[in-house]
Amino acid sequence: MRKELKLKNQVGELQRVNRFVEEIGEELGLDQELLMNLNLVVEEMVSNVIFYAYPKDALADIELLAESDGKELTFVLSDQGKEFDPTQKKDADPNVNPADRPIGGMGIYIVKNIMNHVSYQRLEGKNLLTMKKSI
Amino acid sequence: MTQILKEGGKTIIKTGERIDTMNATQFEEDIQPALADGGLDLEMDCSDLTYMASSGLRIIQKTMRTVMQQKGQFKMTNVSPEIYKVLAMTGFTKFMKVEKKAE
Repeated sequence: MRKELKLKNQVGELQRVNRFVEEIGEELGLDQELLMNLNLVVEEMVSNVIFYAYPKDALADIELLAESDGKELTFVLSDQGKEFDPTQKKDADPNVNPADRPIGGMGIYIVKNIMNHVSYQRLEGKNLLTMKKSI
Repeated sequence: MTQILKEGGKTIIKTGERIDTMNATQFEEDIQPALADGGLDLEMDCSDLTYMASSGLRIIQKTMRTVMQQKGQFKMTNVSPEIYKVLAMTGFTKFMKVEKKAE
């Protein structure tokens, strides 16, 4: 399976992202829990790009590629915004009471926990985020 | 759609089906009246909730803070097993009462 989605950096596009993941889930016969988790992961990373990669009011393209051999599902998210490696963002510490720790940091933590592999590359002016999950 | 219900001295926030990046700001606004009351005894009823993104977790985190400052109580009820796992992963179940949905 190979599927591609082209998006604009607008928050309303997350609906299309959600549908894209649902379609992949159906095609690969993924269970409800895995599907929810993949939606969390992809929504998290795409919204990061939508909110932070480009200057405010600049309209830009984001690409999401999904590929699977039936054993592993790989997402590659790419944008041409400013260089940003989300894997370097500080994780939330689940051993500290959420009421006492800084707000946020949970998105990337969830992504790293759910996926088997997450890596970032800056290549030819693009941010490339690769995320793999055994299915 | 978020609903706020009063039951005796208790305030119940009944969530809609999703708290995601698109509607999180709306959800945060919706629950403000429940937080402004003071002397909080707050329950978030998640019977209808099937999906919650980290933007939703952030709001729960803020709500915990507010309730703690007011020395109130805050629990989540009827949480789906899938969402429970995410709450456990991010450290919420260790520090607040989270009750799973009856099977």
